[in-house]
Amino acid sequence: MIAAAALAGVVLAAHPLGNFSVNHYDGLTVRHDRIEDVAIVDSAEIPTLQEQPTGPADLHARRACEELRGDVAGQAEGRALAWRVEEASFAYRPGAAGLRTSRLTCRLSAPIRVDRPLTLTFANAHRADAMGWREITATGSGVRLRDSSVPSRSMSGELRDYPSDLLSSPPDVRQARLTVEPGSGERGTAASVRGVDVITRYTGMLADRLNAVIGAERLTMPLGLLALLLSLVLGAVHAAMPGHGKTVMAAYLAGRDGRLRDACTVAATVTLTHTAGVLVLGLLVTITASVAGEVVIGWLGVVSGLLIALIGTALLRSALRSRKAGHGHGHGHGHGHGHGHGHRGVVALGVAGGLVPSPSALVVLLGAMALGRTAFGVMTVVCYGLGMAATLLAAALVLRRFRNLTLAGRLRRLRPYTATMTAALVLLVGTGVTVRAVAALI
Amino acid sequence: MHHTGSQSRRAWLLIGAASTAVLTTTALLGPAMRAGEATSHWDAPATFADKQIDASDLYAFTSPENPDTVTIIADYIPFQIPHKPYDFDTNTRYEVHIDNTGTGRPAITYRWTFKTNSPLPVAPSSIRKRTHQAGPVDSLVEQSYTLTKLQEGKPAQTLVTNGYVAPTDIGPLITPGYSRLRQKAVRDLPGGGKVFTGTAADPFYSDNDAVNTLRFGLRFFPIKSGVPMNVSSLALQLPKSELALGGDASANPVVGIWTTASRKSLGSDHRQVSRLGNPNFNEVIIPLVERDRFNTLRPENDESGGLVGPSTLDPHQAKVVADRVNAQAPPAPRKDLEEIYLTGLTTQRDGPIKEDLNSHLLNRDVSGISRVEELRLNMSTPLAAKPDKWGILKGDKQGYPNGRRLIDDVVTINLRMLLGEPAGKGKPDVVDENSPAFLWKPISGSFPYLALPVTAAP
Amino acid sequence: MTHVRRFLPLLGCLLLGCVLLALFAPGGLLRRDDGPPSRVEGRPKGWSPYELSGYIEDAQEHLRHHPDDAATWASLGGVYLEQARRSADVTYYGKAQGAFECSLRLPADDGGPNIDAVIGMGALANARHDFTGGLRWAEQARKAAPYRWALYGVLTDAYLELGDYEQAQSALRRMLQGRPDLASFTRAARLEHLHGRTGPARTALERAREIAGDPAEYAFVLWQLGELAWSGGDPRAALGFYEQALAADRTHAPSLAGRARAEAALGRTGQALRGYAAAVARSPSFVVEYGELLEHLGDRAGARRQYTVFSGQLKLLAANGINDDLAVGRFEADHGDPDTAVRHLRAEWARRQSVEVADALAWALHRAGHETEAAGYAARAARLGGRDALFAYHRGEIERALGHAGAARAYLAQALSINPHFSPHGAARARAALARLESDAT
Repeated sequence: MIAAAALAGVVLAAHPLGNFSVNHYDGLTVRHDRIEDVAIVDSAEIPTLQEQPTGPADLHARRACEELRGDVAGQAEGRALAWRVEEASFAYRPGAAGLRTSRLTCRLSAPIRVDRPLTLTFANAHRADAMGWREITATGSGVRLRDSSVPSRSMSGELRDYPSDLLSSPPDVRQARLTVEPGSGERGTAASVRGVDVITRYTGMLADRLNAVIGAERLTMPLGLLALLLSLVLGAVHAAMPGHGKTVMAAYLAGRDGRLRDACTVAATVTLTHTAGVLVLGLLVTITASVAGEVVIGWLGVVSGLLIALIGTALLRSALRSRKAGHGHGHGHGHGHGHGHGHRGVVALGVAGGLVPSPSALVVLLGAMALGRTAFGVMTVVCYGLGMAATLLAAALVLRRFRNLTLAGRLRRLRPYTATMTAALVLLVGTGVTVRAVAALI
Repeated sequence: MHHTGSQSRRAWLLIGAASTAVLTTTALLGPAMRAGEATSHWDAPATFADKQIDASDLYAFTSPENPDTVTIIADYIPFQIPHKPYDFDTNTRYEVHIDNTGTGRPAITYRWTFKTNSPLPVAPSSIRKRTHQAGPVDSLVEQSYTLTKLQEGKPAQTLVTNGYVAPTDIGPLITPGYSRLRQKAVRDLPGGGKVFTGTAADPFYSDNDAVNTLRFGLRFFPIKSGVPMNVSSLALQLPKSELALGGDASANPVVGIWTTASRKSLGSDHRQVSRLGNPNFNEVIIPLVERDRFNTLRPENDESGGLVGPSTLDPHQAKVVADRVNAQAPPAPRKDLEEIYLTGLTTQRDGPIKEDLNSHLLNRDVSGISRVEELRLNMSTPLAAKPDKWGILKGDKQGYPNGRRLIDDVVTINLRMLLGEPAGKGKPDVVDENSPAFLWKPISGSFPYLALPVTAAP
Repeated sequence: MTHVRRFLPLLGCLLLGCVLLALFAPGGLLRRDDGPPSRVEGRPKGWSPYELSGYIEDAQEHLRHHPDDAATWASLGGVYLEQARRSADVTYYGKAQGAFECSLRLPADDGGPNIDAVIGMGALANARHDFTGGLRWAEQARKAAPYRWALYGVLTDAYLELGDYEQAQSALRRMLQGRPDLASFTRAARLEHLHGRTGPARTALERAREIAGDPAEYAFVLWQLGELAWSGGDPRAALGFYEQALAADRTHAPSLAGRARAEAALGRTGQALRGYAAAVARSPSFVVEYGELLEHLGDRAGARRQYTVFSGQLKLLAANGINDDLAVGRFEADHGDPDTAVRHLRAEWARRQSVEVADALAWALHRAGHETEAAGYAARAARLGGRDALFAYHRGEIERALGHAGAARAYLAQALSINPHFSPHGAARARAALARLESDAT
C-alpha cells in the first residue's frame, strides 16, 4: 500500500513545478466597456499525456477554452458576468524525457460598463483539485484600478519562468476582488504577498521598518527622521482603518458647514488625545507589573462610545430645537444649528476619536522606552497622532467638497434635514460603539 | 445614499479592526511569537503534531487566597485556536506527581484519564468539520474524566468519576452561558481541595527579549507578552497537609512536583512520552539529541541515567547564550544549576547558593536525597506581600524557582540563572528589568486563577 | 403630509441604524468575530503554529531574516516533506532537500550535524525509493542520537522495503517503546498486516485514528483502515472508511482510488470510473489500476491511454536517474513483455528482497515460462504468512502451470476467499481456472 503512494514521490521535477502539475494563470484587464481575462493553463508532462487532444489543435483549444469558461465566474456589483471565448490557442512545448508539456491560452471577455465605481469579483475553479501554481493578476486600461486583491504583474512571467526558492511556496490564488472606477492612470500593486490586501501589506511592511529603525543599534539623524516619517504614515493608515469615528466626525463637520477651523480643532484634539492616551497607558503598563490590555482598551472603547453618543444626543436636541425655531425662515438658511454647543462638541468628538490608543503605537513607545529612547518614542507617538489627524482632516475636507456638490443639485431641499440626519447618525454610531465595547468586556 | 455604503463598510471594518488588535501586536512582535514561545515547545519536532501529549507549563504555588493549600496547574495542548475544540487523548494517563522525600519517587500521583462521551468512535474534535463561525455545526462532543489518587503502599483512591471537562468557548449557540460551564468544571474533592479540568486562556507569558536571546541570539524589544490562544489545564488546589511527608507541612514543607503524560502502547503498558518539571529545562539544559529521551525518563532514574546530571553540570546552551550577550558564563561544573534544578537550595550540601529554601533536606524526616529534576516548592515560605516576577533573583523567596507562580517571568529567570545568578554576579541586565508587560487576559484572584478561554481576538 | 415628509430622512436613518444594530450587535445576525473574509495582518484566521501552512509561513519568514538557524531549516524541511506526502506535489521534495542541506551545512550547537536534518534526509531518501540511502541516514542518526524516536520510523520503513523484516520489527519495537504515537502505530499496522495478523493491525490503526492531529493525518489513517478492510475482502466496509477519509480531506488521492476500486467491486462501474478519473488527476500512482479496470470493461483504447501515461512517467523517472524496477516489472509482466519484466525484477531483487518484489518476480517468471524458478520466488513471497489475495492467485497459477492441481486449487481458492475482488481481471481468471481444475478433478 505504501509503495503505491510512494511512487508519486519518485517522480522528480522535470517541469519546474513537478511534472504532474497543472498551472493556472489569469491576467485580468479591465476596460471601460469590458473585462478581459487571458487564462493560461500550463500542463506539465503527465497531464499533457493524460489529455491528449483528439482532432486538430485549434478545435481542441476551442473546446478546452469553452470548458474553462464554464469554470470561471465573475461578478460586477453582484451580477454575474457573461464570459465569451474570444480566442483560443493550444501549443505543445518540449518537456523532459522526450515528452511534451502543453500550454492552453484562452482569451475571455465579458461586457461591463465602468461608468461609476464598480466592485468586481473573479474566481477560477478550473481543475480545482489539480495541484500546481495558481496566479491571478489585474490591471486597468482606460479605467482606474482603485483596489485590488491581486498584483498587477505576474511573478512567473505568465507561467513561463517559475521562481524557485526554498523560502516560498507556489501561490494558490483562485479568487480576485477589484474595485475599478472611471478615469485613467493605474495604481499598480506591489509584489504579491498571497492573500493579503494592499493596506495590510503596506502597513505590515511599514511597521516592520519602524520597529527595525527604533531597535537599531545606533540611531542616526536620517534614521530618526525616517522613523518619524514612518510613524506619520502608519498613523494615517491607522486612522484610515475603522474604529476612529471618522465617519462621524466628517459628517459632523460637514453638518457644521464644514468650517476649516473646526476640522483643525478636531485634528489637533485627536492628536493630543491619542498621544496622551498612549503615553498614559504606556506609563501604566510600565508602573504596574502588568496591565490587561483587553480590559483597558475595552473600557476606553466604552468611554469613547458614550462620548460619541452623548454628542449625538446633544446634536439631535439642538437640531430639533433649531428646526422648530427656524421654521419660519424658510429653506436654504441652515446656519445656526451648530451654535448651541460650539467648540465643546468639536473637542469632545476629537477626544472620542483619539481616546482608544492604537496597540502598534503603544508597542512602538514601549520598545523605545525599553531601549532608553523614551523621548524619541514620544516623538514617534506624536507623529503617529499627527498622521491620524491628517487622515481625519482629509476625510472631512473631502466630505465638505462632496456636500457642496450634492447640495448644488436636487438634494438642496434636503438641506434642512442634514443636521437632524447627522445628529441621528452620530447618536447611532455612538450607541453601536458603546454596545460593542461593553459586550467585549462582559 | 452614500451613508449606507460607508456606514455598512465602516461597521464591517469596525469588526475587523477589533479582531486585528491582538494580531497586530503579535505581528509587530515578530518572530518571537511562534512555536518557540511557550516554555516547552521548541524541543522535539516529533511532538509537533502530537499536541495531545504536549505539556507546555507547570505551575505550583501556595494559593494566595487560601494559604493552607497549594495550587498546581499542568497545561497541555498549547496554541489552541480560539473557538476550536481540542480533546485530551483517551488512551493517555495525565499525571501530576508529588515527591516529598527527595528521591524522585512519587509519594502521591494524581492521575487524570479521559473518555469521550459518545457512543460511536468520532474523529478528534479538531478534525471534525467545523468552521470558527457559528453556523451549522455538529454538537460539541464532550469529554469526562476520572481523577485517581495513587499513593505508595495504599490502594488507589478515586477522587472524581465522570468529571466535567470545560470545553472551549465556541460562542452562545454551542456553549451558551459559558461562565456557568466554567463553574461546573470546578469541583470540590473529597478530603478537601478542588479540581478544575478544561480549556482556559493560556496564562503563559514571557519576555520577548529573553526568548529571542535564549533561542536566536537576537535582541528584541524587551516587552512581555503572552499568546492569545488557549490551553487545556489540569488544576488542583490541595491542602498542604495532604502533600507533605507524614502529613506534617510545618515539619516537612518541601515537595517536588512534575507532570507526565503516559500513553498506552499497543500492549497494555503505558509509556511515558512527556515530562515537565522546571520550565525550559528540557530545551535549555538537555541537548537536542537527548530531548526525546528526557521525556521518557522518570526522576527516580535521573541520578543513575547519566543524562540529567552531566547536562546540568555543563549545559552547552550556557556558552552559546553567553557569547550572544557578551557575558561570561560561570565555568563548568555548574554546581549552582545543580542546586537550582536537581537538589533544591540548601546550605547542607555546600552548594554555591548559600540559602535554605526548597531542598528536601529541609524536611525534618528526610536525611538523604538524590539529584533529580523536579519543580520544588517550600510550602512554608510565607506569601510575599508584594510578589515579584523575578522571584528569588529579587529576593522574593516565594517565587520561581521556589515553585512557580502564574506571574513569574520564568524565561528571563532561567536565562539569568544560566548566566550565573544567584550564586554569582551573573548578568542581571541581560534583559531589561523594567520591561513592560502587555497581557490580554488577566488571571483571577481565586481558583483556578485562569482566565476564561480566549474567544476571537478582542 | 409635510410632517411625514419632513421626518422621512430621520426615519430612514433610524431604520438603517436598527438594521445595522440587528446585524452587528452582540447576539445579532452577524457575529462580532466573523470578521472580514480576508486575512488579518497576513495571518489566516485561525492561524496556529500547529497547522502545517501556518507553520510553513512562519518558518519561511523567520529564515528570511535568520538564514543561519539550522534547527528551523531542518524543521522546515520536515514540514515540506510532510506537505509533499499530503499533496503528492513533488516540488516539495526538492524544497525539502534544499532545506535539509541548508541545515546540514550549518554547524549545530553541539558540533555534529543537526539531527533532525539527518533524519529528514533519511525520510526523503525513502520517499524517493532510495531505501539503502534511507537506511544509511537513519543509522547515522541512530549513532548520534539513539533516543530521537523519529529516526526509527525511517529505519522501519527502509528495512520493510528492503525485505529485512526482523530488523524492521526490532526498530519498530524500539519506536513503540519510546514513543507510541501515530507514526509508530501506523507502521505497526503495516507490519502486522504483512504477517497476516489483521486483528492487531486494525487495533493499531484504531489507536492511530484516535490521536490523528489534523485532517490529513486522519485521512491517512482512515485510508489505511480502508485498505485493510479491502484486502480482507470487505469492499463495503472499505468504502465506508474511504468515504470518511475523504470527508476529512476530500483531495486524498489514495482514498479516491480506493473508493473507486471498492465501487467497482460492488458493481457500481460508472461511479468507479469517475472516481478513478478524479484519482489519477490528483496523483499518477493509480493509472495502471485505472487502465486495468478500463481494459476489463472492454475499453482498450482508454486503457492504452492510461498505460501510455504510465510509460511516460517511467521515462521521466529514468531521465532523473531513477529506475523503479518493481513498478516497471509489474507492468511489463501483465501488459508488456514478460522477459523485460524478469530483467527488471531480477535487478530489483538484487537490491531488495521484500515479499512484494518476490511476488512480482515470481509472476514475471511465470509469464515468461520459467515455472520452477517462479515457484521458488512465490514461496518467498509467502514467507511472512501474509494474507494477500494477489500473491495467492499468482502462486495458484504457477502451481497450475507446473501441473500441481491440488496445490493450484488450494491457492486459487485461498485467493478468492481472502478477497474475491482482488483485481477485476485476476479474480475472473482465478474463478475460471478454479472451475476448470474442479471439473478436471471430477
